[in-house]
Amino acid sequence: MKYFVAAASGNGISVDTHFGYARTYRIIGVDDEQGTWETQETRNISLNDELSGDGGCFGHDEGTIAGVAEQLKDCRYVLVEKIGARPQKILQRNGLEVLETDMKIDDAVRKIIQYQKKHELSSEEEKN
Amino acid sequence: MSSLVEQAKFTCALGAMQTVLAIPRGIPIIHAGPGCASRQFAFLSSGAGYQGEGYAGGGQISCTNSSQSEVIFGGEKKLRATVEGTLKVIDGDLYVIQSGCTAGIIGDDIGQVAADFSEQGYPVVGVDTAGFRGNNYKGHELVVNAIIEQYVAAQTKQADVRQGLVNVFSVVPFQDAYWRGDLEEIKRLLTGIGLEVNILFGNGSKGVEEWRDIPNAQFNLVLSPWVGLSTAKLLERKYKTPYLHYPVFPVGLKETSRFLREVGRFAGLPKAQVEGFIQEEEKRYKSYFVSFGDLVSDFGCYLPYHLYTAADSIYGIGASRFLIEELGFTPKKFYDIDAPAQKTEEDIKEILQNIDERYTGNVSFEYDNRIIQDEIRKELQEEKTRAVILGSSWDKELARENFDSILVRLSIPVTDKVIMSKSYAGYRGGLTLIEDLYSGLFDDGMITNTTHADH
Repeated sequence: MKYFVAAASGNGISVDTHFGYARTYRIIGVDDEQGTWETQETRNISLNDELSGDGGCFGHDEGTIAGVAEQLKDCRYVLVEKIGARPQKILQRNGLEVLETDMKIDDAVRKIIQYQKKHELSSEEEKN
Repeated sequence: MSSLVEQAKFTCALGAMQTVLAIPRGIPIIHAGPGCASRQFAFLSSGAGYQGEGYAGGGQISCTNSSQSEVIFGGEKKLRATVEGTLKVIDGDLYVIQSGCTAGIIGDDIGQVAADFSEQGYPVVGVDTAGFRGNNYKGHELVVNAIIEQYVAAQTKQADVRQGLVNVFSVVPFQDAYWRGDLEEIKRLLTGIGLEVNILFGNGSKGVEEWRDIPNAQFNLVLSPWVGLSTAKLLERKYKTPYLHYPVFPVGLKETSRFLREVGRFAGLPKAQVEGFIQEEEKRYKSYFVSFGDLVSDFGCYLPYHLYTAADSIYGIGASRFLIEELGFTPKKFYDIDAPAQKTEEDIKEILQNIDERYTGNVSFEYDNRIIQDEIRKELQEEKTRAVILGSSWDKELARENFDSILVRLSIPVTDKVIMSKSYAGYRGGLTLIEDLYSGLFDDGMITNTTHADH
């Protein structure tokens, strides 16, 4: 099965950014039947830059969160270092599974493939 | 037995976190999803007579709150961080990591995490108590055995046997709502005949000091039909400690005297010492019991005679024996709710048949109280007679709506009474049970006509 994983990363190697600060995502295309993956693009999230309260963290504004969800909606998994319960729920309702980790992106993707294989999930089940 | 339980009488193996809390300064650390620990607390503490959080229970319990992230990436990292945090913030003597269902599925190595901490000198133990391993009777055994294998074995390498020292493995804390009073009374009785007792749980225990002392016992006492047997066998293998298996929990005069004589014989205590204590206790009991005789004769036409029991094999057998042997009840049905192993079922049937042959064919193993209730209701309506039900708060309406039968809350959930030091164990417990049972005669109000029953 083929799907996309969005990883919030500043250095391009590890998942090292909190959701509320992630303005750039590395989009990785995964083929879990082959067990391979490759970077498709580096996607910049466009935000309403008037947001300056919260020290630059946009993770508390529902409108902005929904906007991020919209821009990532082609992905199945979103990897961030940390996310609050509310934005996680909002993204989940938009069909995105958000996972917290600080692993190297490659290691995280490998684990996801292992998990998918073990549980043989279909894309229909996931999107529900 | 169906796969859906409408009226629960126990929880899953994770409920053994209450066993840890019952050890003074015992601290559980839960590696499970969010909500698991609070559910256990709701049933086993609030639902056992409102026993409260105690030293470090309820909302204080550390938990990894495992989510999908832990399922996919593994939960060990979060667990280690949680254990580190708990060691810093909660002052305890023994920390027991218990994994729930999620960790059981992922395959996080709880034992390894615990070992890493104990190698650094921290008193940390790890046990897999995933819900699918069994109920909390099973969980209790798993936790007790793990503490012995991981903590006690490391702390006390050689046994230094002291004559007269006994370890007691009996009721399951919190699952037995009266555990605090019960263990206090068992300790008092054994101390009374001249033994030194590691009671291991509750206010009367010195906590981990007693647990470390376990290998030094002259013998172990398994005071229950099956819970605790695996522990006694483990200790026999590890430290060559012999054990006395006394399956009937003592309630009332006859069983308690039999119990003390048997323990005294096994321990090799001087007969005069044991008999002296028994005589004193029996004298006190009888002085109260005599006054009960007047109530029995005055309210003769209101007395219930039929007995239905829906409880675990520990208290269920003990209390039923007392009612049958000393209060003249007719046994109708016994429902054992603790889900023992298949071959243990045969042992339990034999114990009950030896108590009264009328139990033959009338012993069931059922843990859905709704199924038990439906059967009891049918029988009460056929018999058309007042009965006593040794049950739980689930059975309140069942009793009241069927010939004003009397409910004694012997087993959990108990949600309509407050329980603190009350106990039905021993000589004193028998008197308390008489009080509670016969007070039920007046649940409807005063009885003024005693020559003819107007019920």
